Amino acid sequence: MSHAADIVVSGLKKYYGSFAAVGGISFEVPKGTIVGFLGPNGAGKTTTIRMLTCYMPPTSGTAQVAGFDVFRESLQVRQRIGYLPESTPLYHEMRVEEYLQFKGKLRGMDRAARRKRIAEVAARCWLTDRLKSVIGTLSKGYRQRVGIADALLHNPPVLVLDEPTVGLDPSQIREARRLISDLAGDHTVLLSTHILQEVEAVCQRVIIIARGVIVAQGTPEELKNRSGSGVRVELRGPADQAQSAFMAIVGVAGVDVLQSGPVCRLNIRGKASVEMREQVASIVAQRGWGLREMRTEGTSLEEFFVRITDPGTAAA
Amino acid sequence: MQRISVIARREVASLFFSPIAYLVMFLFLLVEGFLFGMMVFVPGNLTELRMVVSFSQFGLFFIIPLMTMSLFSEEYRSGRIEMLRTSPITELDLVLGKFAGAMIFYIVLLGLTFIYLGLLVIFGRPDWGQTFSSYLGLLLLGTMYVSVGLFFSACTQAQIVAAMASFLTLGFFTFAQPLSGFLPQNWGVFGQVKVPVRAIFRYLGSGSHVEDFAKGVFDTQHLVYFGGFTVLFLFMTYLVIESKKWR
Repeated sequence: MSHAADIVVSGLKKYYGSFAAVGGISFEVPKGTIVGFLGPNGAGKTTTIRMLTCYMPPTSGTAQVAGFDVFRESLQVRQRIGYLPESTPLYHEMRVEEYLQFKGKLRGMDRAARRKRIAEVAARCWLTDRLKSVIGTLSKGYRQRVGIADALLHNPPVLVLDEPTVGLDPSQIREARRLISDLAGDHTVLLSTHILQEVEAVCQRVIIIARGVIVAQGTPEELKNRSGSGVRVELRGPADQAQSAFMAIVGVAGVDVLQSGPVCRLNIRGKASVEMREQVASIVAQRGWGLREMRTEGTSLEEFFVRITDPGTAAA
Repeated sequence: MQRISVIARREVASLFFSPIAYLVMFLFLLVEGFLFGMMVFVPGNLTELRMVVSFSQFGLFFIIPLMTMSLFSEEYRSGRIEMLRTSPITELDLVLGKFAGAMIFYIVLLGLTFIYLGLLVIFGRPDWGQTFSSYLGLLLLGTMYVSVGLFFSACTQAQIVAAMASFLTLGFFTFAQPLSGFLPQNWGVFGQVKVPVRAIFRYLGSGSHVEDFAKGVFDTQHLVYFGGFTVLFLFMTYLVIESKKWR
């Protein structure tokens, strides 16, 4: 195991009966970085997280968190991990402060440490004025903050946040992202989310999981580049001829006919960062087709995500 | 140990927060008040808790499930079990903490009957040895009943199912002894082996064990009975909690 990584997962598998929820994944999260853990619903994100947080043991494979094995040294792992579960389960009859005190005691923090840390995390999660509120009376957003405060309470080296911004309003989401960004350096964060802007905003690396396997990983920039650029053209001419002509351009990965007929529309997908517009234009001019529109399609992480997690496409 | 007490104290606080706790206290005081009223505060009767103790189990077998049904079920249903199980505590800490919390509540319940005991002291002179042994009997009976309730609460996320299963099981322990008289002395299995069913049911029923405490007799065989079943049910609870993660 490398010392630079706080989370090391290798060949992790989880079967429910004969169904492979997680079918053998390996990845590393370097110390002090924020890694986005992305995937459609049912991809195996929560199952993976539950194995990392020692909620359930893997069927096979190993995972180490902060240098400890999740199966054999489960208590040490749990001591060093701050976990925000997806549903933010809390005791609704308790007051915020009571709950944080309870969690601090469970983690074996002494009285002085608890008092100090509760004040700190409350300030960090904008909860200071709600410490005396009964959790059941709080809005979803405040409960989410209580969950984040709880995960941070014992100042753990590793944080696992499952959808931390669900239920927050737009300005709180921005604040929460700033909070998470601030954690980088001191903490290693595995951030599971659906929201792609969130990943682009805060994560240094992204792991995309679908159908229980990792389909892509890299920095957000790399993934965006991998998705390549695209050119959308609308022209008066035969769609099939145009398709084969554009396919011949160097650097073109594929041409999709979106609409045929007297006026056809095509989507030309290029390989990573290839500029195709001038060549497309000259082909259209040579053939004498009437060019009606040409624009570059903005490549986004979202497009890449949708394409790569689509069950139709083979895993990359 | 420290973590067990953290879990236990939270459990007690949460029990007192729920309306069920007050319903339980009401029912318990009602049953005990009835027993004291009918069995003890009657001119000519002895100032002893003997009958109160013997009959308390008929109240406890339906009161204790109400008190224990939510212990684990509610944690499963709300998803908090995930928070608890990813905290740095062992499954044993969790089981013993919940058990201790429920026991503290039960001891508070028993403490409520000191009101009646106080009346008894004002109007008579109870035998303190026998009174102590009576309360010890009630404590041991409750310990075993709470462990049964805890076990069924760990089995399901539906509180009502946990309560019903506990009623039935505790009903068996409560009624096995009084109803054993209706059973034949022996049951022949395959016409060969004679099984002394009546004696077995008498033994399994909690009544025959709590009776000696009520009389002021301290017999260690009853400690074995109550202690044995308590440990058995706590161990099964631990196994259920432990096995949950493998599914």
